[in-house]
Amino acid sequence: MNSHFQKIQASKQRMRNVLQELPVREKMRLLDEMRERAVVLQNASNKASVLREEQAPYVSNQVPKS
Amino acid sequence: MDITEVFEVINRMHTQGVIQDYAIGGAVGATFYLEPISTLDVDIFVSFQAESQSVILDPQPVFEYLKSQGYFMQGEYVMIGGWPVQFLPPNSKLVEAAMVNANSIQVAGTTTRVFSAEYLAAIALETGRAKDKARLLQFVESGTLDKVAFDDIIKEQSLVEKWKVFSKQFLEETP
Repeated sequence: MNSHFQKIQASKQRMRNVLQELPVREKMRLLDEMRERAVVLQNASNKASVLREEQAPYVSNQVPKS
Repeated sequence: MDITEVFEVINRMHTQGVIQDYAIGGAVGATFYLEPISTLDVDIFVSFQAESQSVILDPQPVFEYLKSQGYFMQGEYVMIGGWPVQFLPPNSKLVEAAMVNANSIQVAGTTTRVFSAEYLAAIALETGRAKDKARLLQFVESGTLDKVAFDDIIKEQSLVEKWKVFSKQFLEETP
């Protein structure tokens, strides 16, 4: 593991320690926030899991005349 | 969303005798000791009232009570405070022991029962899915575990071999 990666890992661990030491009430508030975000994402993916385009209006009107 | 409503409701159910004993497990339980862990639901382990002359433990009074309080079911969950809550019976000797030894913790003025960090880690070891292994690793790395208490639990619950495999796989230094 190079020193750059070690620094990143140490920084992540520090952040985790800070979060771990938060008061329980604050941690529960963060759980609420994460769930709210998950519900928004879930609803968005239920409505349209694939990006769709409306059919171009000219498709049916421009059938080449034989 | 307000997860503290879940704690208030479950505490009220306990006080009113709808449930005998309970403890919060899963990711929400782990969040009491670790950094917040994103989760889809709240797992509450509950001792249901046993019907007389029946070995089947009946969760129906719990659902009837919650319906009477205006909460609704969504599949196997009851929605409380915007959270899907799952009521689970203790399904192993380990979970039964975890319930007996649960901690009482105050959240926003409500006392709630939560599995101890050592029992949550042992349950993760016993369950053994990828996410459980990740959580167990979090417990080990966080330094929140009382190693003596954890060792006692895994000895008592015959999990020593599983722990050896886990340690070899995740805790031993690789070259």
